[in-house]
Amino acid sequence: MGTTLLEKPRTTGKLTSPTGTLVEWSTESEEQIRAAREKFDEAIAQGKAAFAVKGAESERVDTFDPEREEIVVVPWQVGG
Amino acid sequence: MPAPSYEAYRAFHEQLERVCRDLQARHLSDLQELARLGAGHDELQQLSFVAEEQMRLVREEQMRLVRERFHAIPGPPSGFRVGVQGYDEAYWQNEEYRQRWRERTSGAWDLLVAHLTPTQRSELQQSAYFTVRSADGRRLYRLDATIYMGNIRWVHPSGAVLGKYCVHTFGGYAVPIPEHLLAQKLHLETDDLAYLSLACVMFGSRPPGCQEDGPGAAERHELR
Repeated sequence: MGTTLLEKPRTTGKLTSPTGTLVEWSTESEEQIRAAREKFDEAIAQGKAAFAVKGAESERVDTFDPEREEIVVVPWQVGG
Repeated sequence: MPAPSYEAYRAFHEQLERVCRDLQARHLSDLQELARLGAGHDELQQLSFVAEEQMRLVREEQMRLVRERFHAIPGPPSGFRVGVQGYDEAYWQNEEYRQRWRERTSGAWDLLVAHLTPTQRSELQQSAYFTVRSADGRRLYRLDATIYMGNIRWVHPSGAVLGKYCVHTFGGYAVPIPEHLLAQKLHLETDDLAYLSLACVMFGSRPPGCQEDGPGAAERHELR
């Protein structure tokens, strides 16, 4: 289903990192979901960890799920 | 340009470390040889200057790698409410870096606070730390927001400290503290035992269930 400028899909999810928002998507837009999935997969391939966050709850995830409201990817962790 | 893999970075970093060690060894050997041949103070000092310049170039390359490839900005947040240890003063002389650092740090604080519960926000505001609970609810960790190294404490509900750990985002002081804190919070809340298996224990012991010689062991041994 196409959308006009007046009917922009509402943002339903976002991929963030500690430095800020990387990409946002709407479950109505396959193109946005594809772009978000690519970003997510790129981060995972780089060895980053991803967490699905909802309010104060967080859960480690390894695959992209567009139904999530927010996914935070964090860089490599090292013992000091 | 996409960021390189961790392995690629490690390989490059290790290569630079080897260059550094070779330079030091050669410098020492040259100094000893010249001293044996009766070189004067000025000649030895000149050789030291050359060696120092070579070392400086290698260190600059290391910093460039961190700055450009990993989009990290070295330098502390001047006048900010928390401190940063061990920064490189030379980089901090640059106004552009300072400005970028302030913007990045400010955004990172906003993002961190958005992911905290009201109680954690209140703790952070009043005491510059906040407490997170492990996924199974059995362990409490206190994250000190004034430092990024050794800032994780395993605390008993009474407040007694059972352990103190150092594990953080790669990049160290080139990464703003709130970015470290958000990553630490998420890891501890989802799988604290796996995360602390990576850590260097600075005080006490790891919680039961951690791998004492976990995935971070090799790195820890390298650092010692």
